[in-house]
Formats: sequence, C-alpha cells, structure tokens
Amino acid sequence: MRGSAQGRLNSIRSELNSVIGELGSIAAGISADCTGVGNDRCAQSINSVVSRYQYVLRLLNNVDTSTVTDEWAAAHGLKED
Amino acid sequence: MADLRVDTNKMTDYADRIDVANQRIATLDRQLNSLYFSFGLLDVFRIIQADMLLSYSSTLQQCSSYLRETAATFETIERTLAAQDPLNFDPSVLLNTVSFNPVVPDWMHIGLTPQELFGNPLIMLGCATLSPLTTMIIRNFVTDNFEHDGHFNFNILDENGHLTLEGIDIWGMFSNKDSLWSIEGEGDFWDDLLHLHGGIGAMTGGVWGEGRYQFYNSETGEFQPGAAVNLEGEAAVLHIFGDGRLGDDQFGEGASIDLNGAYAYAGGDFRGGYIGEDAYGTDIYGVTARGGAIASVFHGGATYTLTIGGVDITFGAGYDYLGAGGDFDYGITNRGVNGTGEIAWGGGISVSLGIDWTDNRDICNFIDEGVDWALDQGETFYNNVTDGWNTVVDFGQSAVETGVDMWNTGVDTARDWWDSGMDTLQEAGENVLDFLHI
Repeated sequence: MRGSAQGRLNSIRSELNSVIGELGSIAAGISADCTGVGNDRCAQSINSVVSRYQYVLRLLNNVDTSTVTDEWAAAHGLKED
Repeated sequence: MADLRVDTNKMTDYADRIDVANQRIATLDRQLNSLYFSFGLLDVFRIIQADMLLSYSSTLQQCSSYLRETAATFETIERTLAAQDPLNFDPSVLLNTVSFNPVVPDWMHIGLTPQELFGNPLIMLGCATLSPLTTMIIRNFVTDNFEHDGHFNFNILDENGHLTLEGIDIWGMFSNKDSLWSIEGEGDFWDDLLHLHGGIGAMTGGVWGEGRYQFYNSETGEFQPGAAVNLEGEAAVLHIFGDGRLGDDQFGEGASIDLNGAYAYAGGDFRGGYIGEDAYGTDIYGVTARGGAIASVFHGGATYTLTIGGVDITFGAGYDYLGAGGDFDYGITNRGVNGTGEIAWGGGISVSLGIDWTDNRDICNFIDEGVDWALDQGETFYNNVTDGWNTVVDFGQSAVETGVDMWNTGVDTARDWWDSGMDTLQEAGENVLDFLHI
C-alpha cells in the first residue's frame, strides 16, 4: 500500500497544482477584465491564497515516501503484493 | 473621475469558478487526512502542516461574494438607467441605487490608503460601521498576514535502543501582527551618540504564540534545557510610541513612551531554563512570566533608563484610564531582573523596575561561570540518570537472554535424559526378551 499512499499523494499534488493554476488564471482575469471596482484588491486576496497553497504544495513535494519501511508497511496492512 | 470598466458576465463566471476551486480544496483537505498513517514521523508533521493550511478558504468565498454582488449591482444600475427617460433623467436614482447597494463590500474597504479611505464616503461609512478590533481581525484574515516557523524532533531512543533526551527538540511559533496604517522612523545622530525612534499606527495589533521544549539544541548539540509557552493578543485603535537615548552602551540616559487609545491585551508568556540569546550571542537562562487581561480607553506608559558601566537601570510608570483587568511581567535571568504589575478597575497605575547588565560583560562572565557550572552539574546528573536507566535496561535484557538460554539448555538436557532413558529402557526390554528366548 506504500505504492497506494504514494499514488494518493501524487494525486493530491496534481490536483492541488491544478487548483493553483486555476486560481492564478482567475486572479489574472479579474485584474484584466475590470477596472476601478476593487477588483485589484480581490485579485490580491486570491493571489495571497495561491501563495499559501504553493507553500502547501512544496510541503507535500518534500514528503519522503521512502521513510516507510517494508516491515512497517506490512505490519500495518499497507504493503502491496 | 476614476475609470470604471465592468464585465458582469465574466465576474459571475469567475465567482462560479472560485466556488468550484474552493470545493476542490475542501475535497483535498479530506483526502489529506487519509495520509496521516502512511508516512514517517517527520513527514506526518509536514502533512499536518499542509492539512492545517489547506482548507476551505473563506477569503475565496468572500472574493466570490464580492464578484457576484458587484455584478448584480451593476446589472441593477443598467436596468435602472435603461428604464429612465433620457430626456427626463434624474441623477438621484443612480445615487440611491449605488448607496443602498455598495459596489465594494465592507471587507474590501480595509487596507486602502488614507487618500482612498477619506475620499470615498461609502468607504468611510463602511469603516465606521465596523468596530476597530473586528476591522483589524478581518484585515489580518483577508491579507493572510501570517508567519509561522518551527521544527519537531522527538527521538527518545538512540541507535542502540538506549534512552536519550538529546533527540527531543520541539519548537513552533506563529505571528499575525498588522496595522491598518502606520508610520515609523528611526535615526542616529552625533556619531551615534543620540538615537531616536518613534512612530504612530492606527488599528494596530495581532496575535502571536510560541512553544518550545528541549534538552539539547538539535543544531549545535549543546545542553540547553528549556521550555516556553506563549500565547498573546493585543489591539489598539491608535498607538503612538517613541524612544530616545543619549550616550553609548556603557554610560548614558534614555527614555521611552508608549500610548494607546482603545487598548486591549490578553495572554500569557512563561519561560524557564534556556530563554534565548542576548545581543552578544551568548545564552540567556532564567525564569520569566508575563500575562494578564486588560482593556481600557487609554493605556500608556513611560520609562527612564540610566546606564552606568553597562548596567541599565530602568524606572517606569503606566496608567490606564476607564479600563478593567490586570497584567504582570516578572523575570530573573543571568542578564537582568525586572518586575511590574497592575490591577485596574475604572483606572489603574503601575510602576516598574528593571536592571539589565547585558552590556557589562564582566558581570555577565562572572554570572555565566556559575550558569555553566550549574549546566555541567545538570548534564552530569542527566547522564547519570540515563546511564543508570540504560544499565538497568541492559541488565534486564541480559537477564532475560540468560534465562532464555538456561531454559533452552535445560530443555535440551531433559530431552537428552529422556532419550537416554528410553534407550536404556529399550535395551533392558530387549535383554529381558533375549533372556526369555522370545
């Protein structure tokens, strides 16, 4: 299941990366498509959230899946055949 | 007049996309929970951090609401204008529409420059309706002005399976301080003999905290036992502060003021053992305690410091007007002592005294010799305790192994005896049969 956990982690990383891209695109659109109605503040707020999620992505990219031993994985029913 | 450009269809589309993205984040948050038991301890800490930071975002939700409300407002204005007779246009219709449906929601007002703030009556109205403290909290929340740091080492057994506290080093901090508007200045004059610093801030404050527990410094390997618990929050509508100093770090005088309007503070800070480093990079040890809860219309104080031979002697006085609560601040370390306390009911007065000999290195070195001796004794005691414990564990383990060996030897011996006895019996039986000629 170590492989399964790795797969889920990769899936989460990929989805988070996609959400970050989507929010960045939305922020850019809000900045470009409107003027003078507070849209820049709105885009800044979205970008600050994006920055936080980028930090989360870096955290997840630093997760080292090799730290789980085969014995530990097997003992916890996590080992794949 | 400022330019306005709005595409209400796109704004609504962006709002929908933000909501979808926010839901995807909420789903990711749930998925992260399933990873807690799939990785090593350090990685679990990373996943916990990630999980704390990855959640359904109210900031995104507010952005989505802002886009929808703004789009709806402009569509209303458009419909109102379309229904007007161009030859008999009444401008108050437009004004009323905007006034009752503000384009920019209240939470967006926060963080504008004073020029923007006071140039827009709608924004002034929005600010006035929010309490200052709420405004500050919302601003901090919206701007994500959040800092945090930390490390987590918790290995109580070494590679030989022996108990050790060298691997325990836990530290974490967070801080979220901000002000709606502030100006601060600092300068040195007359060959640095005169130092001035001061500033003013509006709606300042924040929350911050720290926790630490260690026996050894995991980076240097130095024996530095210490613990700290800190969680505090402070807010003021108006904060004016300033300090000045004439002289060098050996001889001189200094003074400071700190004035707050509509002030509130709550929290506590308790530290013992290793506290940190002084300006010279040497360790500070001692016990300090600070805390309380107080709120007042005016909270202020002033101090006067006299420096003789590198020893700062500071006298202070504080005053609270129309307030209630109490606070205290006491400490004794190898760099100084200080103390103050106040109980306010309607009003309150406090006095404080502090002596700091950080800049008198002779005193510091003399005291640090005692601190180093105490630390050596502490480390020796700690080593004796862990060595004794590990000896007992080793002896117990050895005794168990010896017992198992003896048991196995006994079983083997008994089995040999049994086999030998059976052989003898069989031989005797055969002899009897031979004797009987059967």
